[in-house]
Amino acid sequence: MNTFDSLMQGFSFAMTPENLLYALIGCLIGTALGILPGIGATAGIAILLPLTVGMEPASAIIMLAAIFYGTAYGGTITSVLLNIPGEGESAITCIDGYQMTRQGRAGVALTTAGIGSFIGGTAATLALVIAAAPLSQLGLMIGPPEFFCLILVGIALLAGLVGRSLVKGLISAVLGLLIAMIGIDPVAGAPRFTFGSEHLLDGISIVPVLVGIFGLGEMLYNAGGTAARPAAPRLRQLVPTGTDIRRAAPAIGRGTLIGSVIGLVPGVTSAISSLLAYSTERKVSRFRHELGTGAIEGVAAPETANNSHSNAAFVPLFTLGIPASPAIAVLAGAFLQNGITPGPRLFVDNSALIWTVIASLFIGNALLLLLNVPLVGLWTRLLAIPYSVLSALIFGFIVIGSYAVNNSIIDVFIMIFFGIVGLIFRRLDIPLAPLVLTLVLGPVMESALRESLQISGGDFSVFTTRPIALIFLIIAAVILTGSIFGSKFKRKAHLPMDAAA
Amino acid sequence: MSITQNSESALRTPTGQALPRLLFPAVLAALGAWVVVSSTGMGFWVRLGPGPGFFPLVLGSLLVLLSLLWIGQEIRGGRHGATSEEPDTSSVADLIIPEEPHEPLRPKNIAAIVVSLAVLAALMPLVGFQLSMLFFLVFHLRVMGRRRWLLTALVSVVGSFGVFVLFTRVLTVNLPAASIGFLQSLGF
Repeated sequence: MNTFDSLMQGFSFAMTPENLLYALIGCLIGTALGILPGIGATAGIAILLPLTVGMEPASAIIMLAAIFYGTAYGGTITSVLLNIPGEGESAITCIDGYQMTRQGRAGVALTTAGIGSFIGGTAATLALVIAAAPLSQLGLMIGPPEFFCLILVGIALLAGLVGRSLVKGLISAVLGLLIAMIGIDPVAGAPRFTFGSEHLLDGISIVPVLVGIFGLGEMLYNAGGTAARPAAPRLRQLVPTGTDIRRAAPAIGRGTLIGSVIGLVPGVTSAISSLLAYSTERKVSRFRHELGTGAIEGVAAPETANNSHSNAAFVPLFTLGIPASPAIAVLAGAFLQNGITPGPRLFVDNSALIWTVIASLFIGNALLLLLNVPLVGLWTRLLAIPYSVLSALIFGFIVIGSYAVNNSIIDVFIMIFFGIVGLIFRRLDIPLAPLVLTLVLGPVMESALRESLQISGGDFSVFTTRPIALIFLIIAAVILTGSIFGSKFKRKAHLPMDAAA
Repeated sequence: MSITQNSESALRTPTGQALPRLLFPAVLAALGAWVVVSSTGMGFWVRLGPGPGFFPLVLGSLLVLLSLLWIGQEIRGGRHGATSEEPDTSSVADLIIPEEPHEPLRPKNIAAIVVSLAVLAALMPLVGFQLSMLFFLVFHLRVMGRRRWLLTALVSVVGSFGVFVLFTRVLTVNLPAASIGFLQSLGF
């Protein structure tokens, strides 16, 4: 079956009333999470993950993926209307978006952001469709040594690019691997670091750890803080004028290109795509002198870029099994929970499921455009909920989410422990993204390492004599060396602290 | 729990002082050393290749090395003053995404949240999800949030009894039931 037929079959599954409903629920929850302070995509997906246990794998993944890209829309709404970036990737939209709101053009800004996100997301998903088959062919050529080196590239990218300190990034990665090591070892079956606990023999479930670090950790970090609560402005006009469209179109085009390319690189966050798209507009736009004063390009370009980035970020997961960001790593956890290993074999072993999920990405982007722009007034009312009520309810969900994976109270205590760890990481500026990647990939990484050395009879040259493995090793080394010498540059470029931002 | 206790005390102290900033990396170095020691008993190399202790040994050693590097950076940073860690604020990007300083910690609020969650987790298997969550929500809404009684009652009942019905009946997710006989007979 060729790519087009597979995609059409995916659409026929994704369009069933049940799957449409799950995509819709995911979009709604995602938007709400993006608007509300305190909980982002990563924690949201992690908390809801256990609740999808009883669902069909395809439906579960469709819903969780919709939450992932729905949060970006929610973040845009608060950036434009209230000058509060709900998500890090929308921070840059605040500049011109909020100026547009002050000029009474909030509706136009939101509609443009919605259309731009739709175009960017759809284009990136099309790129995924085109790239999926050849890339997963490449993926099938990858044996344990290559896979091990590929994960090293992912770790190097996350540790080297994301935080400001390479040492702290690597510490985060090592801690993730050590947590993943708890339980029965994947090759010989010996218990490790279980402290005699039967519960820990199965290893630590990733859900309580992620919920703790991203959900509770963030709530503790903000504990007692007061969230700004300005009144939402009235939306006078929703439809952009002809001039708006003529000005936004090239910015949307450039944003799509930037997001789709940058999104392919693991470890680079969508906040960086937005930032690059905005700085590109500052250089090439015909109206660059107006940027900062409410120019439509300043909303269209970064919003398009971050959504095309989010969708493009599925490519490394689906084709190589490498999650590009913490939120995608949690989605990878959703695949694993359903007994599906993300990676090149997806298109061989779970072809129907993966094409259904890809088709749902198109549907979800369309749903978000249709739903969110007209409903924006309703969404902003969510902000009227007092923070104390919201946080109490979020704590409740955090507890339910971490209990429900294994019906275990121990998991709730594990979640609380990692909440404190998450707080410490945030206070000490240790990036969280490398930890999540290695936590999810730890077991496969160790298996790949040990299988490689079994193949070679204990000879480490197996990593340097196979060409693809060697290329990956060199890339990882270049990234690490580059980030040591480039730290000064990085401070200047001021990359965001964490992929979770 | 010693890791968290130590590092929490590190957090409360102003970051300008050298000793507290060295505490967390020191704890990590100790953790790494412990991993190295534990891994030696697991079997470093077996007939087929690397044994269960191989990966932990590598990681433990890495953790020790990285933590020492961190300590070195902190000491050097302290000697040169904090300037080397200060970001260069002259670039355009800094104006776009300004560095957000950490908000002051609120140890009382953090402690209240952590302790209330731990109490909730401990009570759930005893008195069941509904009652323990009811108490938890009342505490957070009324005591911590100073909400009115009516709102507190409404949200707490919906958030405990309502959520229980929703999750166990509609979503078929199991939630903890009471282990005390008297409460069990009441349906908790």
